[in-house]
Amino acid sequence: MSPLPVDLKILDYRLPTVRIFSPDEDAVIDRLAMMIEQRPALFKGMDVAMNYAEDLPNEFDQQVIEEFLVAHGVNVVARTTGEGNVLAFTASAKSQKSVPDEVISKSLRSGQRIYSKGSVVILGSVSSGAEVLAEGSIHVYGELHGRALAGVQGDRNAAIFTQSMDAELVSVAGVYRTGDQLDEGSKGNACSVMLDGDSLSFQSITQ
Amino acid sequence: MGRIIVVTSGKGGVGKSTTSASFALGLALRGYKTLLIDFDIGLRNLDLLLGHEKRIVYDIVNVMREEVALQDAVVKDLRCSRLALLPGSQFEDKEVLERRGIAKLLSEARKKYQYVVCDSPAGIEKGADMAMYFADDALLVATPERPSVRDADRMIGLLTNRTYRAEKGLEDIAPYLVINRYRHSLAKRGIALTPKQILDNLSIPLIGIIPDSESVTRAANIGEPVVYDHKSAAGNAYADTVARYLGDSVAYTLLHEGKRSIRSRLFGNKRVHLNDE
Ligand SMILES: Nc1ncnc2c1ncn2[C@@H]1O[C@H](COP(=O)(O)OP(=O)(O)OP(=O)(O)O)[C@@H](O)[C@H]1O
Ligand SMILES: [Mg+2]
Repeated sequence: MSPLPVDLKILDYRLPTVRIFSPDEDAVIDRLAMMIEQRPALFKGMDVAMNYAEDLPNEFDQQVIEEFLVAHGVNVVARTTGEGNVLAFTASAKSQKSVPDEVISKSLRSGQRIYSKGSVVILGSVSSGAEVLAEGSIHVYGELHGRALAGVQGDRNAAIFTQSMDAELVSVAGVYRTGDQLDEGSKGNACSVMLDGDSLSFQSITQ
Repeated sequence: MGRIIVVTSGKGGVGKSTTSASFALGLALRGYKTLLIDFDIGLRNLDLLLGHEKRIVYDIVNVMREEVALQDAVVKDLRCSRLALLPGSQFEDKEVLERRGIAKLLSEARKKYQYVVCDSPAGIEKGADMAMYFADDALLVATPERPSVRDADRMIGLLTNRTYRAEKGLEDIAPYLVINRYRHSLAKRGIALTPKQILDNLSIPLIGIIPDSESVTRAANIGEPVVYDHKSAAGNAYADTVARYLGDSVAYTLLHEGKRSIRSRLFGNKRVHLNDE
């Protein structure tokens, strides 16, 4: 890991990426200010992705960093985490108010865990031993073999959608069911999981 | 007060988790309330080996962080209710393993269970250290190969130095040897080490010789520890290992690859069925 609090790299999705390593927002902003001051023309109008190190604390204030960049003419167009395989396109760089959906372009492997402050769309599968936590809903376009916990801050309207249900655990707003208790009919099928009163309801999604 | 048994080896992939699962289930089948703890943070296996992967809500990290009580995190075995599993975490939360938390967890486990079997990760790093630190007894798993035996030797040294018992000047941890993946024909031809060679090297009591067996592979894939399979030579060898640990004297049925055991050739004893060899 870089000893710097932040740096600028072109990662494999071909966008200059601001990578943030330090949990200290002030240190990050100081360093960014220095970088921008050194090469103001480079930064002006540049589209960048943000990449937040996986081990940053939850309280880390992403917004203050992004607002600083936007104020200096940088367009924050995407937000990524971890190794860069997690990609979220920010709704609009300059006027973002609500938390955008995260789009994850790959599969989540065993031992990987993501936390989304909004809803999350996973284009690949979620392996056994992987875990998706979202304050909003979870959409899995591949197969769901791992754990999916939607509405983790209590949003009872959150839901889980998958093309193939084989989860180890599903939960909406804290109401959970382990994989051995899933509805028989849902197994391997496209289905949604929603909160219905105090229990989870499974509904098949027919094309 | 329950006894804490660590299953360790130094070397990876020699059968610690396989042994932990069958040994713990074996103790439970003998009537003891047993807790199996997966200390392999980041690479847990026991949930699959026991077929519990779809019944897990919490894991060891939640207990260590005091988010949930031990009894609410353990998953009871469906085959034998005296056995419970505290699953490891599949996520790397290295900081969570620290001595004070483990001391608390194990002292509580000791009150509720007669045996606490701790499956250790490979290596001699923090995870293995944490799994063995508070142990009373140790099962050293070694395969009949020199690298495995030397790593086991290294581990025995650490057990007598780097553990609670050692640091507090208490009676030493009792180490027991389990030889795994034994193939008699290879030992006989001098290709694999013989039990005698391994024992000469390690000089700790031997309590089990587990044959290399496809029933172990099958067991791993159906999520049912091989000790449950009475038709399996490896399963019976694990049952014998548990019996010896508990103080029974059981003769070794060294297995003759493919056919009959030496014992059955010498004594005509057909106790062990070899349908899986
Ligand atoms: N007696 C045996 N016969 C056949 N295969 C065996 C036997 N014992 C273990 N194996 C196989 O060897 C492999 C490793 O076993 P296991 O996972 O129990 O080792 P481990 O020491 O726990 O590994 P790790 O160091 O990665 O934790 C597995 O594929 C298992 O099925
Ligand atoms: Mg193991």
